[in-house]
Amino acid sequence: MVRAKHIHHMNIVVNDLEKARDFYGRILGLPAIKRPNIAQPGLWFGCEANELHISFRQELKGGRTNLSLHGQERGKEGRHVAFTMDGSLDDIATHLEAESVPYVRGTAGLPQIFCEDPSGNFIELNTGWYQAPLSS
Amino acid sequence: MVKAKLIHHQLLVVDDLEKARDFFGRILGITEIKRPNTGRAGLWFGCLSNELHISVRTGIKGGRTGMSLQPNERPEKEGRHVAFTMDGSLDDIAKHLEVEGVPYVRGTAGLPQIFCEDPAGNLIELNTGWKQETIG
Repeated sequence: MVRAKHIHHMNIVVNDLEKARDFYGRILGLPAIKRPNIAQPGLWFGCEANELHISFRQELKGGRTNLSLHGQERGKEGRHVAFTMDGSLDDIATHLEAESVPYVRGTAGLPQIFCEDPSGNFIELNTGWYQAPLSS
Repeated sequence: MVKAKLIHHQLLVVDDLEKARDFFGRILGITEIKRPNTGRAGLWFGCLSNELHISVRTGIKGGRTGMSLQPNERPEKEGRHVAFTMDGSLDDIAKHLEVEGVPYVRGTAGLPQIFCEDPAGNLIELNTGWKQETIG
């Protein structure tokens, strides 16, 4: 049967690869992985069982958006990738403040912080949780 | 040190919860998981070490977009996508999508990829998997 066995990667689009390398590689601490020679410029990171793919798009309007950092106020731009971090929510907040990354704490009762990457992609940083399948 | 240890989830925004449940739950075969009462409409799936979160927004443009299904031909940030590694060959995946009436294209980057949209127009990749080494 054809079915999904795991999530392989998330792909996001940016207009500045060096800023993306700094944000995902240095600030979030993800290791860069080899990227095959595909025609379009980009950057790949590994994160345990997953990869994060960054695609470069020159004509994209760059920089953080002026949208709310609360997902429910962003329309379709509420879509995001969430990373589980080492450290507490307060540690994550302190880390983002030291890096001058604007953020908000989530309001859904989950241990979440939301921010944008330097190209305005919406990103969640959390301390993790696990939900049981509905059928069990 | 505050760093990302895993990708926790990807959240996608849709206009129709039941169509999303059918696409991700039945067609892709991923498992629905318990979702806490966040005060907003949505749906969560589990997929090995990751979750897929679906949020419903009213007032967004729903349905498939009609854009190219090749990520590099989609405007602005619309080439962004979530990729699932599937059981089965690329031909099996293609046949599965044909049976379900889901439009798709094969990728052109030399990787074993098929691209399609979910019923809300989010770009989705289905692949047969690969693993890249860490740089350095």
